[in-house]
Amino acid sequence: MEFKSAATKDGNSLQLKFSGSIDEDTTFPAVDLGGVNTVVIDLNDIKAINSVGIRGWLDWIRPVAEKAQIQLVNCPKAMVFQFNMVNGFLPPGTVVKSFYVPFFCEKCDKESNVLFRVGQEVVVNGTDLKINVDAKSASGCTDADCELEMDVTEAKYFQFLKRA
Amino acid sequence: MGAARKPKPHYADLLSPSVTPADLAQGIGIANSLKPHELIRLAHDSGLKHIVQTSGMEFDRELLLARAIAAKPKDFLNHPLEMINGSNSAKSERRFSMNSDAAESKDRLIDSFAEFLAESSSTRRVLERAILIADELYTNGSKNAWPGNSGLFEGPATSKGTIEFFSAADESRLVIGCKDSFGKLSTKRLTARLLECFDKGVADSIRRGSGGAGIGSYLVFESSVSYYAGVQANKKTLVCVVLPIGARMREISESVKHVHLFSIK
Repeated sequence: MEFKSAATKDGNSLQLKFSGSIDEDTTFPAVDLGGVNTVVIDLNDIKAINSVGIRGWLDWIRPVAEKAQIQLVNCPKAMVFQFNMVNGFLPPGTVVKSFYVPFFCEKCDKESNVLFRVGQEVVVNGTDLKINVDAKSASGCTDADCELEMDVTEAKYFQFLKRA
Repeated sequence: MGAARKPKPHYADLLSPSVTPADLAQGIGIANSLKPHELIRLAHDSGLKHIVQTSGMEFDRELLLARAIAAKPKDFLNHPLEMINGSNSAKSERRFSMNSDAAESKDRLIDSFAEFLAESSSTRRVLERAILIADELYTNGSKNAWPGNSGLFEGPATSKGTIEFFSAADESRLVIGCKDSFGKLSTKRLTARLLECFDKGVADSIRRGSGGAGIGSYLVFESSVSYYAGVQANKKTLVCVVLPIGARMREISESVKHVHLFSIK
């Protein structure tokens, strides 16, 4: 799926919205950081990222992170895997504000991706994590017997938050 | 990895009661719970072709498979799914395969494979990881057709050849693999590259310039619980991996892996 980006500026904050796949065909946008101190990147519609995409991401984001604080929002599972697997994928000072966590119910055979906002659904205190989420409500499931459970190994999936 | 090279096991937990002298002579080692970088270090330094771990997923099956591959490596290169999952497995599993020219775009493969994964909740739940693996395996398979890109591969680049991508899913495991007609992969370079990623970190191991980033094999290895790479020089390269799916997905730690690396003439 073709990579696309859209930018809007709001005062000293630059908002970027990325979609599609980050791969060998991706060209990241040239950004004007004049007067900008925060870059908010919405990754909600990123479908996949491969090894060449990781290189492109690092080449693009590192210089941006030297000039402004980067905030990542609505990070999908494919990006969270890279946060954990690739040391340096999140440059120093980068803040992950929200990310999706997969849930699954064996009874309903239903999957659901629940958005965790850091400081709300998940609270980080040093190396301790506290999760405050009612996945069933968050997923909108109306089945009374539904038993949604987190579908990842907590210690692994949330690792990047402890490194930040 | 030369056939005449003697294995030199030197990790404390390598020799378990289950390993036999015949296993070691065949290049099979058994460990308990080596971490991924320790496992690759051992494979790289010792010359062992198969290292299976007692605390890894389906240890007994992996040990039997290691013995079967050591006895008949060409059979494994020709019929990997039958050897990994058993000869009667086709009746109880869903399969996906696609053959293509090396130069063909991988978009079609990725789209079709995503549809296959989406057919069942057990495979849909690992879709992102499986797509990443498929992308990297296919890219590595076709990389030898990229002029001027040596990377993990030996010999001159070529632009003619075929790539066969395949996958099979049953209740507990998803196998994903790619076979090419080049036979250029160097398993020694592969382990060296994996070690570099572990030692220096992925971000600092990335290859610059055009062509591959040189971290695809690391991403594939880290995303799987069993990793197989077999080469018949100048004829065939096969790389495939196993992922746990279904009810067992969350039970299995991905940090304990098995590895099988061999080259034949």
